[in-house]
Amino acid sequence: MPTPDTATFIAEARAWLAQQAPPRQATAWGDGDDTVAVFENWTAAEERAETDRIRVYEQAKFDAGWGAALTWPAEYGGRELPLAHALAFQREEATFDVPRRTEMFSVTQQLVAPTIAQWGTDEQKATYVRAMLRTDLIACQLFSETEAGSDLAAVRTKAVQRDGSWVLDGHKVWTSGARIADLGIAVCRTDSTAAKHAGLTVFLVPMDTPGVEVRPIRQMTGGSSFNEVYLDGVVLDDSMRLGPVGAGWQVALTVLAAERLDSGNLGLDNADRAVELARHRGPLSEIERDTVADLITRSYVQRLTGMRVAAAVVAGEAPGPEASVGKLLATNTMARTSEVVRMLLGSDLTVESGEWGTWAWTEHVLGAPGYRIAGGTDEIQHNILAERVLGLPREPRP
Amino acid sequence: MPATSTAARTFDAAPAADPSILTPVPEHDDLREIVRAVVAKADGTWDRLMSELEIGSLAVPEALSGAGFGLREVGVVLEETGAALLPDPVLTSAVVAVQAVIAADQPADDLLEAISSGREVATVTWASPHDVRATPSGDGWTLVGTTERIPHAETAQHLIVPATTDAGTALFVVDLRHDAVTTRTRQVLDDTRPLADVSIAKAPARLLVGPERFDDVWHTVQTAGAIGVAAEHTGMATHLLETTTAYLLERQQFGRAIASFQAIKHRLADLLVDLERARSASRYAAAIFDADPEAATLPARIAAAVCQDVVIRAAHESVQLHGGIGFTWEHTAHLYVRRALGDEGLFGSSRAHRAAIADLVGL
Ligand SMILES: Cc1cc2nc3c(=O)[nH]c(=O)nc-3n(C[C@H](O)[C@H](O)[C@H](O)COP(=O)(O)OP(=O)(O)OC[C@H]3O[C@@H](n4cnc5c(N)ncnc54)[C@H](O)[C@@H]3O)c2cc1C
Repeated sequence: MPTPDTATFIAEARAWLAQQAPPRQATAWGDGDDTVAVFENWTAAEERAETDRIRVYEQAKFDAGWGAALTWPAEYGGRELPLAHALAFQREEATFDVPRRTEMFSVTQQLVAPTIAQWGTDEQKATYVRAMLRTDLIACQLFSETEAGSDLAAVRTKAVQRDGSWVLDGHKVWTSGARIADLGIAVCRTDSTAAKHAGLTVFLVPMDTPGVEVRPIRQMTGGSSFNEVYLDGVVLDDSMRLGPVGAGWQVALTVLAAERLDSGNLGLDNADRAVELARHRGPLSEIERDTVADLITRSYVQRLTGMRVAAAVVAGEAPGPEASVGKLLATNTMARTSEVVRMLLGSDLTVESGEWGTWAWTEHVLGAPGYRIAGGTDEIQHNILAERVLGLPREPRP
Repeated sequence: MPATSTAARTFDAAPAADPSILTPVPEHDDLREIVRAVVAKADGTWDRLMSELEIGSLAVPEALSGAGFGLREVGVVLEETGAALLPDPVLTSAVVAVQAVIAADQPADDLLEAISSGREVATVTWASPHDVRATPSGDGWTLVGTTERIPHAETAQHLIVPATTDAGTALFVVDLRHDAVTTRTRQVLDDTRPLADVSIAKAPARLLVGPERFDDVWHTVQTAGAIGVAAEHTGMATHLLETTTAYLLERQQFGRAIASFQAIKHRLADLLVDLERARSASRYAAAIFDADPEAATLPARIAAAVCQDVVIRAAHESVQLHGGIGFTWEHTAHLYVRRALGDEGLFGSSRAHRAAIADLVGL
């Protein structure tokens, strides 16, 4: 298929989007959904229903040729378009009131699908990549354990070979979306005699396999978007192994690197919403104006930094350090958003009043700290910048 | 609460351009290397920058016999001259004055040639207080008044200054060598950016931009100036991070490189985050200016706010992380603190820039 020129592409995208949803600005301040949740406080049934609702849109988008596969090869249902087109589509999409993707959609489409495309066998690629880009299958990350968080390579969940199959035993924690995921990507220890990072192997675990048990964990927000997952004698065929035996650390790093890159846009919608709140809660004192203007500046620069990364990737260059700072910029924007909201709302934030767009912010203020932990803590991000970008001595590694 | 739309307003507070505007340009790396090499030499820097590299013509349109590049390229130069705290009037004359002269109502080829080639130096009151009045006399104008804290006024030949006329404010250029013009050097914290007051007692002046176009032109000149300062700050922060990191990798205490202590690593990582913010903000503002100077108003303020904060922090971190040696006169760290503080006074604090940002987005 020839590459459409950008103007035609945008016009076509807009026409398609207009059939799916009204423009975002059609909703007036004070009307409609006021949620600014960072992690959703859904019951299991709501989580399932909401995921399915978003999935219907994602699938329609995929089938119409606008989905996550836009830049992917035709074998995955893609159109092989340049990244610039995908970005242009995202910009257009953001102006329509389409369903907001939860984090499980980016985990599936931006983290796990590319990792399978990179490490998978031909059969795995054929089975999973398109299905994940279309979100027919949703994936979750079975990485962390109680004794292995920042130090992920310390995982103890075991996978042993028995009668040509693998048997998994262990306990994963903080698994986002495990209740609705079809497949988990699990980092397991396959060789306890090898060095810590060398004895790992990654598996794809269908979440309905006997022996997989998901138990929701209640978070500080009150809701449960993450879970603990028990793997108790879970038997997997060798065809579910992703990447070579012993290469689990490299496979996991592929996921983690994608996660760091993908986090650059987090927090921007809520920052915009907080600025909008400031416009409606005025008049502002000088100190308040300064604090809000600071948030504007930070979210603006976070966007610019994302644009630099995108521009480098589109130009076929490896992005520089700007790609590694994205997650810290995002968690900073989220923290500043909390600060602005606390300042503007006072006790309207902490005492439910029934007023639109006030109490809803509790979900931001209580959720934002989670992103400083999830996907590599702020401290670990600092270590990564110091060691990989600035070339400073590594932390001691026993 | 009034019912207004969310997207229409927040749109203004987010970058409007497509990411392609930030596409890396390989030639910029070459330019950077060349400028860096020239700046690293102890002497002849100004002459080589101006006559060999012709940096004064970089952002001059080809129609005016310039190189036809823009503030993006100028920004690369200023990052390097800023990093070196070059005391020459690159920003003032080769950038801001040139931007004012190319905007003249009538082509000012002679003046443009003189200052873009570096043969003569011009300065601009772009961020300084001024109280000057212009009256017509014969074919030209006569200026009377004072203007303060003008960079490089002691060594410059020309001063570009706004003055009030009966028809409104206009932009003039006055010869600083004229007998009716006196300059008084000010004692300043930052000796790398010398400042002087200028008194004009009936000196002849040339009209550069008349009242009809003054507001637009002056706004553009100030925007270009702010973007130039932000580029210098970005260069300073780059230099401070590089040199501080190198020092901490080399210096040992407690039997190991100081840079191996996590508290130190995290502070350097924070400086890196800040530096990337400064780069994003200043380079975007320059790129937007080149595409459409009017659209650069908000990006320039954002760059000014971010880069001013970043350079203040980086300079102080550099002193602290060098320990005792960083607090000495001999060490260069204090020169960066001085420049950062001096610029804050001269060009506005980040708080002042944020107040302007709040106005621009209608807060
Ligand atoms: C909302 C949320 C969702 C999550 N979703 C998932 C998921 O879907 N799948 C999954 O596998 N995991 C998930 N996680 C887990 C997350 O990746 C880990 O919590 C995180 O990596 C930190 O590990 P930990 O909790 O064991 O904390 P620890 O590693 O014990 O850290 C505790 C504190 O010590 C600091 N610390 C640790 N090591 C160092 C060091 N070397 N230098 C400096 N400071 C250090 C940390 O920064 C932190 O502040 C999620 C977590 C949250 C909060």
